[in-house]
Parts: sequence; structure tokens; C-alpha cells
Amino acid sequence: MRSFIHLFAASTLLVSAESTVALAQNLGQTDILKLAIGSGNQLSELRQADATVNQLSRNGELRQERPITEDPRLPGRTHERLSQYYDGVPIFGAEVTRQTENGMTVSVFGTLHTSINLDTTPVLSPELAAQTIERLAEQPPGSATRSRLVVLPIQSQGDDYRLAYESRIFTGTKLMIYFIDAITGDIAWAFDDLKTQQPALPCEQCAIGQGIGVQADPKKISVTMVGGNFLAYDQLRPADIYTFDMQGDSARTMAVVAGAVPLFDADLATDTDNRWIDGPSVDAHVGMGWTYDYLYQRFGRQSLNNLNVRLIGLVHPINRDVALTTTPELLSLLHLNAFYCGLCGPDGVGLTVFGEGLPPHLRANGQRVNFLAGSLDIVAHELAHGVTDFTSSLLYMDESGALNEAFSDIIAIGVEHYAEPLWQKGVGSADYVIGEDSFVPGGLRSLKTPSLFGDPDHYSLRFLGKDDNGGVHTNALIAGHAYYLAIEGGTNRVSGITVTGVGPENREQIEQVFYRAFTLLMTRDSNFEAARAATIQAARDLYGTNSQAEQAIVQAWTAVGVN
Amino acid sequence: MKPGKRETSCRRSRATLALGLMCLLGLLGRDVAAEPDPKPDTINARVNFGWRPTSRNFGGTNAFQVWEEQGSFHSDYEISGGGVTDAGLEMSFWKSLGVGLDISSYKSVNSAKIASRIPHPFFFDLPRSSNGTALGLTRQELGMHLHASWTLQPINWLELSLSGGPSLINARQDLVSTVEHTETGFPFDSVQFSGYSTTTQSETTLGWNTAVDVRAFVLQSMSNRFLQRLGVGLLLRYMRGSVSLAIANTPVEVDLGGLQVTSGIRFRF
Repeated sequence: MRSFIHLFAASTLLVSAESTVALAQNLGQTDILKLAIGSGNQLSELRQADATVNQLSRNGELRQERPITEDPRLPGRTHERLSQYYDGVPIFGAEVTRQTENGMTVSVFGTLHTSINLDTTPVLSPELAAQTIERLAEQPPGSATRSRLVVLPIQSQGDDYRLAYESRIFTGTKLMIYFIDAITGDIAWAFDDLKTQQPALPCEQCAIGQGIGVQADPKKISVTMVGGNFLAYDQLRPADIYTFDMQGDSARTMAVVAGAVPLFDADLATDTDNRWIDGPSVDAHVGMGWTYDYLYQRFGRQSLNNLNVRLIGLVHPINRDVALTTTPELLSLLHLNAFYCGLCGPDGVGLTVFGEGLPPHLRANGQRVNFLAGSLDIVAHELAHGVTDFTSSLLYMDESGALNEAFSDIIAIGVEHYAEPLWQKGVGSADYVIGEDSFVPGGLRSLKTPSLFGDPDHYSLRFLGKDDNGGVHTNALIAGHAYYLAIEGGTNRVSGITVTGVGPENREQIEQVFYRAFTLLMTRDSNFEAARAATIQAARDLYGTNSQAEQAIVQAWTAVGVN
Repeated sequence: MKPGKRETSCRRSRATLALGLMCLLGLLGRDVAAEPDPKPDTINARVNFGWRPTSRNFGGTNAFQVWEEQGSFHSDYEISGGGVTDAGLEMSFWKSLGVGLDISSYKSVNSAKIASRIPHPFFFDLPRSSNGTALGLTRQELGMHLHASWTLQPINWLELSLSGGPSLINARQDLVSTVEHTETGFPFDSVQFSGYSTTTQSETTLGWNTAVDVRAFVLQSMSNRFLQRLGVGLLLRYMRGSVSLAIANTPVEVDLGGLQVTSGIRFRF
């Protein structure tokens, strides 16, 4: 190992400035360099990738926009995340993660663009771009976030690049990300970034109450006592957790989500005797706390951003009884869904809305839909989107979007399995089905048997259409099923390949592997192939080459057709 | 009874302290049978100071409600030896027989080991444990011992009194009533024992006592009448009783008494 490091260190100094092109040629790629290089690759490839990153960093083409972080589990290792710039303008989705150990590079993942030829002088002003976005979204002036000039790769057109302004705007039912061509003023690209569920004591006012969840299960609830009333405001965890009761006022809900209306203490879910009986308030509040606990206890993560950003949940976003008369958009968003919105909320750092479900006599797809907050896995799933937003920022489209969804499912399953034996009461039964406590009978998705819900369990069956941002909820099951197989083992229905899982008793290994890959190694536009490489690298980092975990990961991805 | 039979009887019964004492008395009785009995109507007064070496243990569990769940702490009290003060009168009324009344006071300052189970603020059935010690817990026993006695005088200046009878014992015991803990903060995996409060319970019970008092009046040949009556003595008393103390409304049987070894002055008149 020592000789390897010395050899490696010496060699990096000899790499020429043309290393990017050389590396691209070595990897058989030309215009777009997809890096997924770790300890499984040839040493020369790792050297070249490292030299490329160094060279581009010196040129100012790669810039560090987040501080280098210490590895939470492996002493001596650090992680840096670098964004690529072209002529001083960031290239959307082009970034690299580099893992080092005592200064020596261990892995490099990400995407680099090597043949951009673009004039970066915009014709349009940022203000005009924002006005265009607000007009397109039919929103009042000032609704759009500040426009950012980017180089936008147009994937469908090969090596085409556009100079564009990127801005986000909440339309009331969608969190749209618009890219306005900075030369022509046309829409270059747009997509919905709303992450939905389916298509002694430290403070004097802190109090612990008891609540009854949606499933009539008892739970302890951490609240705050103010003036004889108890508010759903948890101050006992390092991150403040708020649960607001929107009392069925959908207009106000959407205004709050859009940041147009502030939230007040009076909006917090309240109880007079600390014996909480409103199930959705109880489950949302407690579920957010448990998800925080899981992230902290399992991964040492402190809330979504690892800096203890506060968590906000909204319950009763709409009146259940208007399900038959409301608009299809609101029915989908506020009755049948839960969603995390990263830029939403009164301070613009995210909130989660838990759908109201349907009145008992109504069905959706043959299922009764109860309050979505009543499913711990749904609560955890939504918050996990926040973790993704603050780490890999996996683009919520196509394969990266599917991986975004998959990671949320994986965290959701992890929370349930972690909680069941440890916390017992109120947790419910741990399984590999998402949303079974709200969507009765059955649930929404099965990581064990994706085909039960018509989802693909093999890469060859992936959805290739445009709906659902390119099938993010559907194709997520390819990765989710790989996760299941890596733990439990089994035979993939399509490939017939049998996987030897690490076993339920070692599930933490696979959880750690996926968490590491998705939060430290993967980048915004990582695809399934990159996810495979990143998880294999993570398994080697954590458990060693040819470890049981690595073998399970390799077999699982192969079984689901991701090679 | 012949001496040989007495010795055989002694060997058989030395397993128990009480019968051993009887043997001793029997042997002494053999040797001193020829000596004169103490004078009837003699009153012996005694004042003693000494020590009670006996240690006793008891424990109990308190339950309480915290974080929407039942928590508890178990206190193990170790009652150590302590100082004893004793005073009494004994009057012979017929030959060697007499009656007497003694009052004894015992006091010790003790500790209790406390083991707590504190519920988790967020989760049911996930208690944290802590350990602590409560100090300065006082046990007092005030005994009033009524007894019948049998007094021997093996030699002129030495008396030996054997006695036994009922005791009225009042016990006062400091008990830990509540414990205090400090939450160490998120993730609330542990708590720190930070304090306690106590209450004092007092109960009276009827027990029994048996004693041997050895009195020496070595100055009786002196001309001073006061000094003639003054002596020294050694009192071995074993008393026993039990009271029921309420720990968290649950009665706990607590043993009282034990062997007391005291010595002091004697005065007869």
C-alpha cells in the first residue's frame, strides 16, 4: 500500500495539460466524460482522472463550491465536490466528486464536458429572463428566484450547448425549473422539481406528550408548551421540527408553499392537554423526528443538510371532503400525494406537505387512501429528498431522477427496519413496501417485487417515455430492487440471476453503502451505471475489496441488468 | 445433674448462640452453686455506651411517571453498625430472679445505592439506566426493653445477669423519596443521576431482647459507701424486631436490632 501511494503521487506530477482529452480517449468517450473511477479501475485511469481534476482546478474550470468534508466514517479520508465552469460560467450538471485518503485520490465520480464551443456573452438580462419565467408560469412579478447564467448541455442533441438562465418558480402545484436561452429568450428546458411520493430537557418549555397516530397507535410526541397550550414544535432535537395544521385551507397551503404567506405559531398543530388525537399531526411530527433520529444514529447526519436545518411539515393541506370537486392538480398534490419542496416554505429552505387522502367511501385505483402522514416510510421518503438536495442533487429527471426517488425509497425502508425493533410502539411492521399504511390494500411500490405494481425490476424493462419526468417513480424500482437483493438475496425475475445478499442481520452494511454512494460520491446527473460504480466503490471503502457487501452489490446490480 | 451430662448437652447445642449461653450459665451455675444468691430487693442501675456491629440491608423500588411512561428507581440501603447508648434498672425480688427495664438508643448514618430506569423521551420501552448513591441517611432505633433476669454471683465482687423479654422498638429511617436526573441531550441515550430527596418514616413495633450483663464491684471492700456500690459492667444485648416501611406505597419489611456491645458504670442500692 505504501509503495502504491508513492508511485501514485509521483505519477500525478507528470500528467500533461491535455489529460482531459487523453482520459476521454482512454475511456472511449469524446465530448462528455463520465467519470466513475475507483479502486476497481486500473491505476492508470485513476491517475489520469486525478490529474484531469487537478489540471482543471488549476485552470479554474473546476471550482470548489462546497467546503471539503471529512469522511464521517473513515478517518483520513476527505470528499470534495467540484463544479465545472466554461469561460467563467457554470455548466449545469457538470461536477465531480473526489475522494482522497491522506492526500491520495481514491475515487473520482462525475461528468465533465470536454468540447464546448460557446459564446458566453448573454443577450438577455437576468431580469428579463425572470420576467419571461414568471409570464410562462403565470405567476406575479418577484415569484421567480434570481436567475443564474449557466451553460446548459442539451442531452437530446448530442454535443449541443446553450447559454441559459436558470431560475426556479413555484406555480402552485409544481416547482418548475426553467432554463431560458440567454440569446434568444426561448425556453431551453424546463422540468418539475417537486419531489412527490408517487407519480432535562434542554428547554424549559419543552414537553413530552402522548399522541394517537392514524393507525390508532400510541406515540410519544415532543412538543412545546406555550400559555397552557401544547404546540407541535420539537425543540429537543438539534434541528427544530415544526408541524403546521393548515386546517384544510388549500389556498393558504399553496400560498405557504410558495413562500407568499408566512407561517405563525397559531398555525402550528395544537393540543390543549398534551393528549394528541389528531392522527396526521401526530404521525407527521413524530415521523419527522424519527427520520431525523435514523439519519443521525445510522449515518451521523444532522438533518437534511448536515447542519441541522429545521424541518417543516404541513398536514391537513386540503379539506378531504372536496376531493370530488377540487381540481385534478390539487387532488393529485394535496389528497393523493406527499411532497418535499426544497425551495419552498417561509424561509425558502424546504418543507414537506402530507396529503390528506380521500374520504373513506372513495377509492383511487381501487385503494382507500388514508392520511399520507400515517405512513412512516412516506414521511422518511420525502425528507430523504432533502438529503439528496443537499448532497448529490440528483437531477429529478430520467435516470438521475429515478435514482433520486430510489434513494428516498431506500432511506424510507431503512427507517422502518431501524425503527421496528428499537422503537416498537407506533412504528408498524417493517417491510419493503412503500406507503402500505396509507394506500390500502397494497401500498405504492414494492422493492421486493416491483412487478406487483407494474414497475420494472430489470433495466431492460425501464420506462423510456416522458411522463413522470421520465419515469422517475417507475425506474426507481430498478435500483430499489437491487438494494433489496443486496440485503435479502434472491433471484431476479427477468435475468434469473441469483444474488447472495448480506442478510437482514447485516442490512446496515448495504444501507451504509448506498448512503455513502448517494451522498458523497454521486453527482447531479449520475445514471444507473454511475450508481453501480459508486456503490461498489462505497462497499470497498467501507468493507474492503471482495467483501461480502461488495459481492452482494455487484451481484445485485448485475441481476437487475445494470452493468 | 451430673457434670458429665452437662458437658454432653453443651456439645450438642453449641450451634446456636442462645443454647450456648444456656450452657455457659449451666457451667457457671455448677461452679458457683455454693455461692450466696444476691440480696433480694437489690436495685442495679446501669448506664452504658458502646457499639452495635450488626449490618442490615433492605431495599425497595419507587415508581414514578415521566415522559409519558413509568420509570423507577431501586434503592439498596445498607445499615451499618453504629453507636449505642443504654440505661436501665434491674431489681431482684426473689432469690436470683429479678425484673428490669432498659432504654437503648442506636443511631447510624448510612448510604443507599440507587439504580434508576428512566424512560426515553421519544420512545416507549427504551429506558435509560443510571446509578447513584444517596448519603447521610440516618437510622435511629429507640428500644424500651422489659425483661426478667436471673442473677448469679460467682464470686463476691462479680455478678452475672441473664435476662430476656419483650422490647418496644421505635425505628426512624431516612428513605430516598425522589431522584433527580439530568438529560444529557440529544439523542438522549443516557441520563445522569444528579440528586435525590429524602423523607423520614417512623414506625414502632414489638420485638424481643435477651442480654448478658457482667458487673464487677471491685471497690466494695472500700470504706466509702458510695464507692462500695459503684461498679463497672459489660452488657451484651441481642434485640430483634421488624417494621414495615412504605416505599412508594409498597410495604417493605425492615429488620431492626442486632447485637449490642456496651459497657459502663453500675450502681446498686
